[in-house]
Amino acid sequence: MSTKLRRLRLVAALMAVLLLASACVALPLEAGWTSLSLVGDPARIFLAYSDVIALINPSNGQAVQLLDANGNVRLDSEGNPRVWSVELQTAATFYSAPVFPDPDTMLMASYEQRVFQIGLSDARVLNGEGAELPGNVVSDPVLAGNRFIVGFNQNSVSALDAENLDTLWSFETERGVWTQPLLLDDTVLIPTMNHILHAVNVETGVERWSVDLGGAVASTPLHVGGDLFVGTLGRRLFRIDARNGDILAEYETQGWVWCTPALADGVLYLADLDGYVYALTIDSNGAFEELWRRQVASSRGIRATPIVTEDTIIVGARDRVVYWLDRSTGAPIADGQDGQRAVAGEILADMLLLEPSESLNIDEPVVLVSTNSREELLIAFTVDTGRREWTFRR
Amino acid sequence: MDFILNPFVTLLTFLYSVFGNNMVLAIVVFTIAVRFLTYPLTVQQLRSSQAMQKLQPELKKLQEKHKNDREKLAQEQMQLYREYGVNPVGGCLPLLIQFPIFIGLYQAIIHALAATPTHLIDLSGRLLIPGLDGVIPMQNMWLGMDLTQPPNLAAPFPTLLIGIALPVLTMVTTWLQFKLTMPTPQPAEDGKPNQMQAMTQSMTTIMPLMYGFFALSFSVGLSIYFVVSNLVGIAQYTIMGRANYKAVFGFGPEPRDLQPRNKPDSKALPAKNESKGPETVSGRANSSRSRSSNGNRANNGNRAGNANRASRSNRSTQRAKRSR
Repeated sequence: MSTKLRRLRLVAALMAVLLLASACVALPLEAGWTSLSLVGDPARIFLAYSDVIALINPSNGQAVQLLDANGNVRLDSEGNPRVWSVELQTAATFYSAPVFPDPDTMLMASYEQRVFQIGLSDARVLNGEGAELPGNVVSDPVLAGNRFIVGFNQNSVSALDAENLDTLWSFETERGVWTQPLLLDDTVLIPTMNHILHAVNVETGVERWSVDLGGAVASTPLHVGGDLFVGTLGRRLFRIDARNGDILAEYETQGWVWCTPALADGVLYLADLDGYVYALTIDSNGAFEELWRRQVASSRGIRATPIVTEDTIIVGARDRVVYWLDRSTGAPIADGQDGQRAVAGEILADMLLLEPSESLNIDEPVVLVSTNSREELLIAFTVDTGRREWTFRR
Repeated sequence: MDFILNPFVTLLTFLYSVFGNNMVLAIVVFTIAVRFLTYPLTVQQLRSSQAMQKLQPELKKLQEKHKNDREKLAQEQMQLYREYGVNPVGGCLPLLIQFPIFIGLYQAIIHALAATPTHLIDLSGRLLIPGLDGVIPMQNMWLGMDLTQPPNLAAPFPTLLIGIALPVLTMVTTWLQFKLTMPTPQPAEDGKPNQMQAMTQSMTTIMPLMYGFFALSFSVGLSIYFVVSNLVGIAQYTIMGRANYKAVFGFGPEPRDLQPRNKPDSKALPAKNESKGPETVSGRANSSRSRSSNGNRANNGNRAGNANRASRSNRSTQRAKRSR
């Protein structure tokens, strides 16, 4: 065999091995996506995404500065203003919003099976390396009185004492809990990837009822007047009696439903992972009636819950575009902002609508859109014109 | 990549649902199916390596003849391959075709067994058969191990043992498959190992180590694929009569040759006589006389004792000798 041919074979073999190795390296994906919430008074935007925990000023998108007891900006050793940031003793990533057992203390659960007590004003961790949890956390917890109720990526939900973080009860779900449980009086509704929606007594952790929905339940139900509306990865939207879990109606969608429906003026709006947006109402027989459906983002679908405004529906899609749709027909409204509605990363997290407010120093409604790109972690668009107001990057 | 990945994900999910939500069984059946589908490639690879082995003496002669003129040597070698209808990279092609299958399967395992929301969300739209959404998400734990992750070497005892056993099994079965199926090249006249022999030896060492490394680094599900694929491969070679158990265990049947499929206008491959090595191989200039009557079937030495083919082979060798 010639030297040339041997070299060719060697190069081909090396390339093949490299190709295999590079293709088989674990995908560098985060476990979850951004969690957005409003915290404190005056309200600030709280953003948690992987190793980023930030407090952001809603009027300008700047990181909130750390203040001392007298309200003065704290300075670092070089005399620069310090921004609000949590310094943890252990490596941790976050995909869930905090809860507040008291106005200045928040509880944050990490993917690395720890829960931290953090001071809101000084960003100090109050419990060192955090308290251990039995599973990874990718969903927002819920606070019921002094009970910190948190679902785990694997197969259970726990209720912890919000003060001392002792476990009060645990509820086995067989598969993971990937979305925030819904609190209804003394019942907590737990959607599970095991296709079942459980209703559990908040005090005792004992199940009250459960319903098998035939598909994984990855989104929090919407509660309206005694009914629950919840979508599944089995391509269905269900209307369920909140008292006993009876299925009252169901509607077949094109793709997986991973968002919570939004309700406005008696019309439900939801989107699916095939990129369809739906407007539904309930007819006189209690069944779903379709007003319209429209495929908006065909390439990668829609995970985030739509935002409904007076005339429009705002949809953040995985194809890195924010769409403005006509509320009555679902028709896209032409982009008049020279492509500013295109963003740098996929939109997976639920968006936030901020109404005009003096305390927030916002004079027109804005929608907050989070992407999985660190170049554009959070963007504020004006609702009426779709103009980009500010961008928070890391 | 979606055109490979989506059918793989769909097939894996379908098998998972058919076999009682058992992903390991689904991977095993999937692997067997892949091995059967790529069986023609395996045969082609075998024929190609067999043909290359038989041309070794000719190539050796050319190397000696043109040792100071590389360009001429390359031309002559290519001419030789053309004359005998041998593709020198034909043995590599089936291996290269299997790489997208490895990659597709690996990605399919990662997607189908999504352990986190960001992995699962990418599964949406990949299932080509309606109704498979009902088994989503799939059970990704097996004997205490996450099938989407590499073996956890910090796991407690029983799981750790399985975690170590899988890469070891991958290495052993890869080595066994190579050892059983690699052709035994002839040593050179000076008794030193020839290039092919050296390459075979290094492949037998490097490939098991490489696959062992893959098994340690990549998902447990992929290790299961490696082990099952190797076992099925060994079974296939055994059924074809090409597994050289004698080379590994010192007893058992020796492999028999496959009938090559030469192109109609190419010469028959030189016959091989192990007792005399390269000297008995028919000369290239005269080998056209040894072409069989139908013009596209070669006469081969037959170590497995097929009398008809052996006699054809001997006649061919004798004709070649006479012609010299």
